[in-house]
Amino acid sequence: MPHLEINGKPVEVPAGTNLIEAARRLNIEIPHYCYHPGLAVVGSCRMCQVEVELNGRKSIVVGCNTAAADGMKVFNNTEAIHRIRSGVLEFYLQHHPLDCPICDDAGECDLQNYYLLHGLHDSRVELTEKHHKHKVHDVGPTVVLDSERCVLCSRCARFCREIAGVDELGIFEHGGDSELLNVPGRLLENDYAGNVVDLCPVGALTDKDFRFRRRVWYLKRTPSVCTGCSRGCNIYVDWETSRSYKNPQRRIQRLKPRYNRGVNEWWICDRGRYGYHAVDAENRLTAPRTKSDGESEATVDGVLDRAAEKIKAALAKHGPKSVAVIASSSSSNEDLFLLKRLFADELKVHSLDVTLSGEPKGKEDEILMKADVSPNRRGAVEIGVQPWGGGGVAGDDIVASALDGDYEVLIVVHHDLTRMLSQKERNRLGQNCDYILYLGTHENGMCHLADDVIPIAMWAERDATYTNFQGRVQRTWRPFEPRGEALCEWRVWQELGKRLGHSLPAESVAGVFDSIGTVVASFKGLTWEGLPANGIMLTGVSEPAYRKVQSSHPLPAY
Amino acid sequence: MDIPDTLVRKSEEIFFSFPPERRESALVPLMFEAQRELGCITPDTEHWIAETVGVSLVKVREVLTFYSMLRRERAEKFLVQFCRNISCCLAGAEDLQRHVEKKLGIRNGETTADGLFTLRYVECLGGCSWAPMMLVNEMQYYQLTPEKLDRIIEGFRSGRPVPPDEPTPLLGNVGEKIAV
Repeated sequence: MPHLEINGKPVEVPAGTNLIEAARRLNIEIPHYCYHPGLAVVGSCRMCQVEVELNGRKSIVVGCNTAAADGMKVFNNTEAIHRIRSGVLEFYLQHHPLDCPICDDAGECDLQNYYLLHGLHDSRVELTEKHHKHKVHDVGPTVVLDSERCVLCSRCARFCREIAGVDELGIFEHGGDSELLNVPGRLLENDYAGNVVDLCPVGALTDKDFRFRRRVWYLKRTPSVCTGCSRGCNIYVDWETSRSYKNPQRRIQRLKPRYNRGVNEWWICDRGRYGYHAVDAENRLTAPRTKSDGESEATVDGVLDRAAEKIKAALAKHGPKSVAVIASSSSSNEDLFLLKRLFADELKVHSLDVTLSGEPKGKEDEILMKADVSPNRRGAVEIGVQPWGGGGVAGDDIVASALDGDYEVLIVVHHDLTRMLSQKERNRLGQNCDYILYLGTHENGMCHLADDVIPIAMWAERDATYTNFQGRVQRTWRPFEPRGEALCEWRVWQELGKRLGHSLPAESVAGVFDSIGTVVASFKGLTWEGLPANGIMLTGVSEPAYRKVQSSHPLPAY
Repeated sequence: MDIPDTLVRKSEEIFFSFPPERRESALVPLMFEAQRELGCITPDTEHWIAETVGVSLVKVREVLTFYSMLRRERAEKFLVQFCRNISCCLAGAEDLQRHVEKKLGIRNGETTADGLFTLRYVECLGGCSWAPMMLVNEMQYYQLTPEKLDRIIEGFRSGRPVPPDEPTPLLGNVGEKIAV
C-alpha cells in the first residue's frame, strides 16, 4: 500500500488508487470535470492537474490518471497549479452563456464552484462574440440539453456506453465546434437516462421532471431507500414544502442516487427515479372510509373498533379459520413483524400470505432492475409472513376461498384484488365476505369493494426498514409526516392488537425493530441504533461478491 | 439504401484486411472509400457503415464529424477549408481570414453566388510547420499571404489552378542536425 503526502498530509491508499481518490480520503478536493469514480478515466478536462514530486523529480500531472506511488508528494494548492487551473477555466468559460439565474444547476455547479476557487477573472470575450450552440435541445423523453453550458467532459456519453450499455450520446464535430448531442432521430431513452443529469458537472443536461421547479439551495435532503423493486437502491429524497404557492401537492422535488457499493453504486434506474410521484399523487388515500350504516364520517378509531369487533365475533363463532390476511411484501419489516405477531402468533390465523400470482411484475435487467417490484419480499420470508401450520392457505388460495365464502373477515394490505378478478368475481367477493378491511395508499377498486378502508403512510413518510433481495436490511428516514390521516401500517396492527386484548411489543418503530432482532433468527443481533446508513446483511447471509458494472481500467504507473 | 456492388466488395476487402480484434479500425478507410464512390457520406451511408463495421451509429458520427476531410454533403466545386488553429493564427491567419472573406464575398459556411467556392473554417489540418495554410478540395496551400491567396483563387476561377504545395522539411533532416 503506497504511503504518500498530499498538501503535506500523510495518507496510505491501496495500490492503483488515483490521486483524486487519495486526496478524497483526506477530505481534499482536487477539482475535476471529466473524472468520475464509476466511469473509465479519460483525462480530458485538465482541471485536476497537480504538482507531484517523486524521487527528486518534479512534474505536473493529471490527478485522475496518475496512480498514487510510495513516497510521492502531491501539491494541490501551489501558485503554479492555481495559474494552470485558472487558465483551463477561462477556456471553459470563454463561450459560456452565463445564464446561471435561469439554470437548474446553479448552486450545485462545478463551473460556479471552481470559478470561486480558481477563476475570478473577467471575460475577455464580448457577449456579442460568444459562440452559440443548441440551447434547448430535446435529447430524450426525460432530459433536456443546453449545449452552450456543456464542458464536453463526456461523462454522460461514457455512462451510456459503459453502464447503460447503449451508445446514445456522442461528441460530434471538431475543436471549437465540438458539441455533445444525440444522433439525429435517435433519443437518449435507456432505462438509466436520468443518471446523466446527476453526472453532468454543469447545467448542460437537466431533468425535465425537475426543470425550473426549485432552486437547489431550498431543497432539504434526507437519505432513503427506493421501494420500486426488490433491489432497494440507496437514494436521497430532495424535498421542500415551505414554498407551497408552487405545486402545493408536491413535497418531493426529486430523487438522487446515494452511493452504496454493494447495491447500486452511483446509479438508480428511471423507474425508481420518477416513481416518487405516487407519494404526492392526487389519488392518495388521506382519510378512512366506511360503508357502515349510520356513520356520516369515518374515523380511524371507528374503523379500528369495528374491525376488532368483527374479528372477535368471527373468532368466537367459527375460530381462526374464518379470518384471512393477504399482507404485502411492499410493507416494511416492522409492519410485517407486528402483523405476524398479531395474526399468526396471537390469533392463530393460518391463512396468511404476501404473494399472489397476479401481482404486477417489472422489467428485469443485468444492471439494477429486478422484476419483483416489492421492496421487502425477502423480509416477509425471513419474518415468516406465510401460510403456516396444518391449515395454512397460500395467497391465491385465500382469494379462491374468499370467493367461496370461507371467511368472515378478510384483511388485505396494498394488493388490489379487483385487478385480478372479473366483475362477477368482485361482486361475489363482496357478498361472500362478511367484512373486508383494506389498508392502502391510493384510490383503487379495493377502496370500493372493502367495508372499511384505512389510509396508510408511504415509504417517504416514515422511518422503516426493508430487506432487499440480497438479504440486506436497509432503513429509510422520514422527511415529512404522512399525508392527511394516513398512518404507518405497524400502528394499525398495534392498535388492533390493543383492541383484541393483545399487547404487541413496542411503541416506536425503533422498538419494533429491536424486538425483531431478538425474535427472528436471521435478524439476531440487529438493532435500530446499530443500523449503518448503507444497510447491513442478515445474520448468516454473506455480502454478495462486489461486481463493478464497468470494466476495470488500470492506471498507468507513474 | 442502395450501395453499389463495387463498394460492398471493397468494404469487405477493407474489413477483412484487419485482424479480428482490430476490425473497428476499418471505420476510417471504409468512410474514405464510401466518399470516393458516393461523393459524400449521408445519414443512410452512416447506417450502412455502422452495420458493416459493427460499431454504433454514435461512433460513426463522432468519427465522421471529427475529420474535415470527410464530407456530409456532396462537394461543392471548390471547398476552401481554412485553418484557424493556434499555429496558423500566430502566423497571421486572422488577417487572412478577413482577406479571403472580402475576396470571395462570403463568410464561414457560405457559398459564392456563382456556386464556385464554399468557405469553411476548420481546426488543425496538420500543416503547422507551413502555417498559415488551407485546403482546397484535396490540394494543400502553405505559407499563405494575401497575394498568394489572390493568385490561388484567381487560378481556380480561370480554370488554371495554382499547383498545390508539397510539404518540405523546413529544418532539413531533424535527426542529423539537431540531435546532440
